[in-house]
Amino acid sequence: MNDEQLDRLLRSTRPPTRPASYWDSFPETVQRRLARESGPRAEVSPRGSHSWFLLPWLVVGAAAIAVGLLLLGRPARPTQPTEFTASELQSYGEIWRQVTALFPQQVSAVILGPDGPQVVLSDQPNLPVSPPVVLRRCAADGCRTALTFSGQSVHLGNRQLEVLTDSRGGVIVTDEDAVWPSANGSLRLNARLLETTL
Amino acid sequence: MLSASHLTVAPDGLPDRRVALARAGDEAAFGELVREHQNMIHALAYRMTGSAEDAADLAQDTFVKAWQRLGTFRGDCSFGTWVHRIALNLCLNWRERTERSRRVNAGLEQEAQMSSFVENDLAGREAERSRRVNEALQRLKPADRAAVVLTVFEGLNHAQAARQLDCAETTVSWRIWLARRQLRKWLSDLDSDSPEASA
Repeated sequence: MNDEQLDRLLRSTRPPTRPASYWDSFPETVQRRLARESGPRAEVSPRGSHSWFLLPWLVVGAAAIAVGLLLLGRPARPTQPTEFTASELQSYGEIWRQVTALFPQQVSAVILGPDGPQVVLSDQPNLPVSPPVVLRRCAADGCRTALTFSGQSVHLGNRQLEVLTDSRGGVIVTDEDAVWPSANGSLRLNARLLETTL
Repeated sequence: MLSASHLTVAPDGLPDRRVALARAGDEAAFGELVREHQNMIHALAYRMTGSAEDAADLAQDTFVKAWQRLGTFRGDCSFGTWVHRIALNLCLNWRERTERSRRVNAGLEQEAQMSSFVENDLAGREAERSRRVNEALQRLKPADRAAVVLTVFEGLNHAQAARQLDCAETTVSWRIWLARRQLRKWLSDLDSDSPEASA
């Protein structure tokens, strides 16, 4: 289904029809409500005089925040990302192709993670056209995948990663204290050139 | 479908006399403005909520808010554009307020509500198609849905939709791309070339 077909399908649905009497009386309904609401609004007491009413909610809120902070404070346990499957690579290639077609020379990265897809764009359409790279990093809160290209800096999870490719098509990823692939286990990720699968 | 020009250009390029009268407290003039724009606001609210009842409530809220804020209307766009923006913000906030309770009651209740009024109005396959499309629209994130509603249903271009949503044009393009991707997946089994869809 292409864009045109999808739009046609969406437009084929109509809002429910309402009787003519509804439309005739709607302006009066609004005016009656305005008249009704204009009186009591002036009589509302100042919010501050009822602030005691909010106290139980503030206590519950504070407790919820405390629990949340405790959970966030748990030591992160990075997990090893799995290998990319052929269908994943095909899907990533398609996403990269579509998004770069939508924003030519503006796409710095597409991030796919638990919060849904995000696109990182440059202000101007002046980015070079380069072979895409896919990298995935997994942490305790889930795996995130970035589609980008050599020379870009990508924020993945809580890490700022620099992505480079070498002359043999290998991918090198660095952050502040590690280079991947390296013996340093603090940065666990999987990366490869995507172009070969397109 | 609504015309994009309806939302972006004042009817004659001159300040609407009814707006001036309404600002001065003339309820009859405001009633005329409500009558002129009520269909557009109901349609927007229905697309955004998937519920005829909620759309009616939101349309009322929109015009009440418009009346209360008429003093802030500067006239740099048409009254229609201005009131449409109020409605859009109310719809987006309405989703935020009700998202949690909707999730709890997801599925059956919403489906029953939607199908009851849709099926009263439309028949057979068309009713089913409407229900499916509505359901898919409601599954989208509110901001993505708003981008689709403005561009696909109301015919705005991306720049116009960006102004209504107070975001960058590229953001609108991105949201539409995301939404289309999801909608295509959810509605892939519906035939877009059937007579109902071509109508």
